[in-house]
Formats: sequence, structure tokens, C-alpha cells
Amino acid sequence: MERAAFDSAIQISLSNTLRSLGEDCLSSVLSLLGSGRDVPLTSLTSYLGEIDTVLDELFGKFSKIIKHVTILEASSQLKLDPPKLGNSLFWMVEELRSTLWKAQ
Amino acid sequence: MRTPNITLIHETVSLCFDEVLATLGERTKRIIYDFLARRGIDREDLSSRFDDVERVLVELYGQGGRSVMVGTLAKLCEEYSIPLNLTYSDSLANRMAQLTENILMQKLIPKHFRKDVETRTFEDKTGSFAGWTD
Repeated sequence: MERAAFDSAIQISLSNTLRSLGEDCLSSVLSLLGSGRDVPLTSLTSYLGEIDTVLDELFGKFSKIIKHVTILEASSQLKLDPPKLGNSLFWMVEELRSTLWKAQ
Repeated sequence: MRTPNITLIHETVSLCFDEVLATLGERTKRIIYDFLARRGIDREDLSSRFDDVERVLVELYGQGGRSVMVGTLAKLCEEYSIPLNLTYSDSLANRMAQLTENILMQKLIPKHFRKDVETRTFEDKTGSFAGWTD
């Protein structure tokens, strides 16, 4: 599987999870990531380090659930076993990437 | 093995909800259960009153509260090995209803229940405790 397909699965999972919380959740995250100017949805995965901080700031302790749902949905899409669920979306994505790499 | 029925789905939803609340910490978990109980929603009513629970959590915590319901659906799908696909429905309660229908039609069994049955069968056959239990 190409890197682009993997990144796309993460992006779709995260955007679907945020949309399910409310109409403006995804746009709030995109706006915070770009410091007021919306980051394009397609480049969401290049901001994974910052997304962790933005989700924590916006949703407090609920951010952990949002990160877990994103990883569970992405794992399901990629047909991989989910990694151990932790606090950082960045590291869970890296673990999932590593699982995919090993599977190939 | 028990046939998949609505009671098992209710039990699994409660288990998933409890697991999601556990990620928020024991105190928050207690507060949420207490708040739900005061609104007349018991633990066994979670799946049948999914939209009421969602309303209470959003009222209590804003949109972040809805993540508990999304998390519960995600865990439920993991238990039954089915895709979450949140975009398939216009509301979380409708998605819950779709998933329940899907589970009943396909006669799916949740992972935690399969593990319980395997453990009991192993222990009954060997007369010893299974190594994977506590």
C-alpha cells in the first residue's frame, strides 16, 4: 500500500470522527491548525504532531476518545489490528504505519 | 453457545460505554453515571435510549460529550468486527439502530462473549483454570 493511501485512511477517519461530533468541529480544528487560516483537509496528516495539541486544547480529556475512535476506524479501513490505544494520535498512527509495513 | 439476541447487544453496549468512560477517569465516570441516573437513565437502558444519553452528555459537556457516544459505537464495532462508517447515517442514534439491526441479522457474537465461552469450555474440559484468565 502506498503512503498516500495510508495517509488518506487516517485523514478520512479523523475528519469523519470530528464531523460526527458537530458541524463546526472539523472546521474549528482546521482553523486552529492554520492559526486562523483553514488548513486544506487533504493535508491534515502532515499536521499530526500539531493535531494532538489542537485536539487537547479544544476537547480537553475528551480528545483521548476522539484519537482512539480515529485509530479504530483507520485500522478497520486498513484491515489491520489496532495498536495499543494511548494518548498521542501521532504515535498511534506511527505504530499503525509500522504494523502495515510489517504486514507487507 | 447462546444465540445472538438483543440482551447480549445491550450488555455489550453497556460494556463499551463503560470502557470509554474509563478513559476519562474514575471520577468523571462516576459523575456521568450519577447524572444519567438522575435523568432516569439506567446502565441497562443505554442502547435503547442512545439519543437521550447523547443529549444529556452534550448538555453536560458540549460537543466533546458526544465523543463518548462515538467512542461507544467504535468499541461496539470493534467487539463485533464490523465497520463503524459514521457517514452512513445522519445521527449517532440512527447509526446505533442500523448496527443493532445488522448484528441481529448477521447473528454476530461479540469478542468478549466468545472469549468467555472459550474460557468456560476450556476449564470445563480440563478441570483447570485457563492461563489467560486472572
